[in-house]
Amino acid sequence: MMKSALIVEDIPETLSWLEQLVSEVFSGITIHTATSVRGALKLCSEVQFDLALIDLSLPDGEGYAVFRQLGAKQPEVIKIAATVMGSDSAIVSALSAGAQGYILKSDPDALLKKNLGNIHDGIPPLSPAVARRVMEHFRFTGPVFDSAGILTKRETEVLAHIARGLRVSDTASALGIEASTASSHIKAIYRKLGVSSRAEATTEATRMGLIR
Amino acid sequence: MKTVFFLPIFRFVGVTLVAFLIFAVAAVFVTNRPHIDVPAGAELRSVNGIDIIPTDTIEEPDQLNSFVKMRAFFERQTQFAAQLDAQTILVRFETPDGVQTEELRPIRSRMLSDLPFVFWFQNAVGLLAMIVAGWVFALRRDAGVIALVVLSFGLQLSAAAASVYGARQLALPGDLFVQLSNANHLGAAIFGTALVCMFMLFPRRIVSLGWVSVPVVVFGLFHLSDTFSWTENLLFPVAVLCQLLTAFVFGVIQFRRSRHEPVDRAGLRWFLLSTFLGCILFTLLSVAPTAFGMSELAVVSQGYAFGFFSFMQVGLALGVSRFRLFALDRFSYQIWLWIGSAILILAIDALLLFWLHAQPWASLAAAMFIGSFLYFPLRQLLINRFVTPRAASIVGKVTEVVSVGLAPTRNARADKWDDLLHSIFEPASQIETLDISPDHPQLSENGLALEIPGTKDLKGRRLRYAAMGRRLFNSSDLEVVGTLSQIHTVVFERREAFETGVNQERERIARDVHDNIGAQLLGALHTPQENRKDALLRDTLADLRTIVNEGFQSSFPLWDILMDLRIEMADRVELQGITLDWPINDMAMLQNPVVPYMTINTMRSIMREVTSNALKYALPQAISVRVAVIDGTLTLNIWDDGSGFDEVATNAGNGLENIKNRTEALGGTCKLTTSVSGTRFDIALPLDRVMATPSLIGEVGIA
Repeated sequence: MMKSALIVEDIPETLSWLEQLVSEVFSGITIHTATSVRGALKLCSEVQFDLALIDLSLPDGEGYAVFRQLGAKQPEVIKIAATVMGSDSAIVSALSAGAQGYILKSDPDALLKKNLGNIHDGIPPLSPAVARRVMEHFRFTGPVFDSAGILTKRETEVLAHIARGLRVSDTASALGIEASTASSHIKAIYRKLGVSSRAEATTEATRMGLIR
Repeated sequence: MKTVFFLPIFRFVGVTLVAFLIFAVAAVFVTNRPHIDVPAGAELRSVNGIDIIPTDTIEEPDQLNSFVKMRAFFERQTQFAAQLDAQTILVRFETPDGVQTEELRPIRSRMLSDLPFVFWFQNAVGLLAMIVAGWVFALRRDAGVIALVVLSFGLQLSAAAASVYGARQLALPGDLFVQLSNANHLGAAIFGTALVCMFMLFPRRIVSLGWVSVPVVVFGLFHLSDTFSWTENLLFPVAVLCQLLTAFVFGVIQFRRSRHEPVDRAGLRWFLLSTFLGCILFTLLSVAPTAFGMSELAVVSQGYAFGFFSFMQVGLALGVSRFRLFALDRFSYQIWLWIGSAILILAIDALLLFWLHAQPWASLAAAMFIGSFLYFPLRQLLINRFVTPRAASIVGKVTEVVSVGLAPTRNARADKWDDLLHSIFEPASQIETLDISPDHPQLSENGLALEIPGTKDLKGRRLRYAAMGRRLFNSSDLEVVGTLSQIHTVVFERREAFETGVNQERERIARDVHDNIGAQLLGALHTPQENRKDALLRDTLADLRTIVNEGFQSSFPLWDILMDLRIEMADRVELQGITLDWPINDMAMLQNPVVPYMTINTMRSIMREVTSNALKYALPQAISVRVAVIDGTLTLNIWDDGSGFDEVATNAGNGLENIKNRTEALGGTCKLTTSVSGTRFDIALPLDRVMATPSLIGEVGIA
C-alpha cells in the first residue's frame, strides 16, 4: 500500500502534472515535493516514503545523490527516475545509483500510468536501447568486479532478448519462463548494475557517456 | 701557381714547415758540440783546474742585467769552450748523491739523448705556437691573423735560441752565444711588437694599418739599442713591460667594442684571458725578478716559463673552436681532425710497434691477430669517437614535437617551434624568421647556418652556430629537421582536419535540430487541435532525445533503431487495445546496415505519423508492419484492417503530405492506398544514395 510519495522536479507545471499522475495511479497517497537536490535530501531525512519519483537534472545538481541517499536511509522505498531529455547513459547511471525503474516524461499519460503501475507491481521497464547500454556496461566493467556484480547466464539471456526488441512477456515466453521470473531477472540486473558501479569512476564514465 | 700557394692547406703546411725548420736548426746547433762524458745527473765543478762559478751555469745571460757583467760572462764561456777542444779532459764533478770525483773523462760529440728535457719542452712550445697560428692562418688571411703568425714566429725563434744555449753543457763559444742571445732578443721583440699590433687589428681594426709602424719603429729601436749596447743596462725588460701594457690597453678596447656581439665577446674573453695570463706569468716569474733586482734567480726557469705561452695558444684554440673567434669555417675542424687523427694513429702505431718488438714470443701471426682483432677495431673506435661530429637527435622529444602542432594559436605554435629547434640544435644566436624560405632544408654559410623551410602555418627559420657554436650543421641535421617538419605538418593537418570535422559535426547537429526540432515545434505551434499539438510536442521531445543520445554519431545501425521503433509503436497501439503484427523474426533476417541520421529520422516520422492516423481515424483491430532491405533499398510496408479515411476530409492531410515530402527528399517513394477495408502504406527508401555522401569525420578518425 502506497502511503507516501516523494516527487522531485524543478519545472512547476511538470511537477503538478506528475502529482496529478501519481495520485491517479495510487489513490489516497500523500505527496511531498521538492524542486532541488538539497530540498529532496532534507525531506529524505524527515519523512518515510514508499515511492520516489526523481528528476535527473535539477538546478543544484543531479538526482543521483537523492537515489543514493534514499538507498542508504530508506532501502525499502521504490525509486523511479523521471527523465525527459535524459540520455540512455543517464538512465543507466540512475539505475546504478539505485533506481528500480524509469519513466519518460514525454510519453503519453496513459503509457506513463501503465509503466508506473508496472514498476509498482514489480515489472521493471527496460527499453531495447537501455538494455543495449546495460549490456555494454557489463561488457566493460563486469570482469573487474566481485562475483556479486557479474550477470548470470539467464540474466544475460534476458538482457540480450530485450536488447533485440522483445518485451518482457515475449522474452519470458521465448525463454520458457514465467513473466514474473523474467521481471526478477531484470531487477537483479539493476541491482548488479549498482554493485558493479560502486567504483565511482565507472558511474562517472557511464554518466559522461564514455562507456558505451 | 699563385692560387695553389694560397690554398688554405698550403698556408698551413708553409707555416708548419718554417716551424720545423727552426726546430731542426736548433737541434743541429745543440748537438753539433763536444760533450764531456760524465754520469747522468752529475754537475761539473771544475775543468782542467778552472773552477766553475754559479754565474757560468746561468740559463739566461739577460738575467745578469748589465752589459759589463754579460761581456765578462761571454769571455769565460769562450775560455771554457776552448778547453773542450781535446780528446780527454780532467773534470771534477758531483753526482746527485753528493760525491765529488776528479778524473780524466773522454770528450765525444753530443747526441740527442744527452739533451735535457727542458730543451724539448721549449721547442714543443714554439712548435705548438706556430702550428696553431698556421691553422688559423690557413683559414683566414687578414692583418690580425698575420700578426698572430708573426707573433708565433717570434715566440718560436726566441724559444729555440734560448733552448740551444740553455741546454749547453758547460759552455758555448762567446761569439756564438752572443748571436744566439741576439736571436732570442729579436724573437722576443718580434713577439711583443706583434702582440701589440695584433690587438690593434684584431678582431676589429681599432687603428688604420699605418699605425702599426709606430710599435715596430719604437720597439725596433729598443732592440737595436740592446744589440749595440747603447745603454749601460739591458732595455729588454722595459720593452717587454711596455709591450704588455700597450697590448693590454688595446685588448681592453677590443673587448669593449665587442659588447654587441656576444659570440665574438665570448671568444675574445677566452683569448684575452689566456694571452695576458701567459704573458704576465712569464714576465712575473721569469723576466721581472732578476731584471728589477728583486732576486738573483728567476722563480721559474726561463725554459719552463716558456710553457706559459702555451696558455695563449690553448686559449686561442678554445676561442676559435668553441666560439668561432676569427669566424672560421669548416676547414678548422678538418685540419684539427687531420692533425689529431694523424698524431693519435701514429702514436698508437709506434706504441704497438715498440711493444710487439719487446715481446720475445712476437711472431707474425701474433701481430696479425692483435692487428686485426684488437688494433684496427680500436683505431676505428677512436676515429669514430673523435672524428664523427655530434649530431642532433629528436629522440625523447616526441611530446614537444607533437605539441607544436597542437598549440591553439599561430603565435603559440611559432614559439613552441622555436623552443623545439632551440632544444634540439642549441643555436648560439637568436633564431631568425625567414620571409622567403627554401623549399627544402639546406645548409648555408658553409654549415654555419641551417635554413628550414616554412610549413602551412609556420614561416621558415634560419639557425646559426649549432650546439652553441661548437659544431657546424651537417647533412644529418638536414634529415632531422626534415623529419621534424614532416611530423609537424602531419600533426597540424590532422588537427585542422579534426577541427573541420568537429565544426562540420556541430553544423550537422545544429541543422538536425533546426530541421527537425524547429519544424516540429513550429508545426505544433500552428496546430489548432489540442491532441495533435500534444502528439507533435511528444515527437519533438523524442527526436531531441535521439539527438542527445546519438547526436554525436553520424550514422546508426538500422537494426537497433527498428527495435526501438517496434517497442515504441507497440506501446502506443496496445494502450488502445490494438495488436501490433510486426514479427521480430522478420527483422532478424535483415542485415544491419549503417544508415544516416536523416534516413532514421524519416523512418521514425513515418512510423509515428502512420500510427497516429490509424489510431485517430481508422480504428483498426491490428496494425501490421514488414521491413526489408532489397538491393540497397529499404522497404516499409504498413497496413491496418481499419475503416480507412478520407485524405481530404480529415486533417490527416498535413501529416501525410509531410511523409511524402520527406520520403521524396531522400529519393524514395511513398504510396498510400486507403479504402473501407483498410489502409496501406508502401514506402521505399534508397539506402546507398544517402550513403554515397561520405562523412569527413570518418576519414579523420574522430567518429
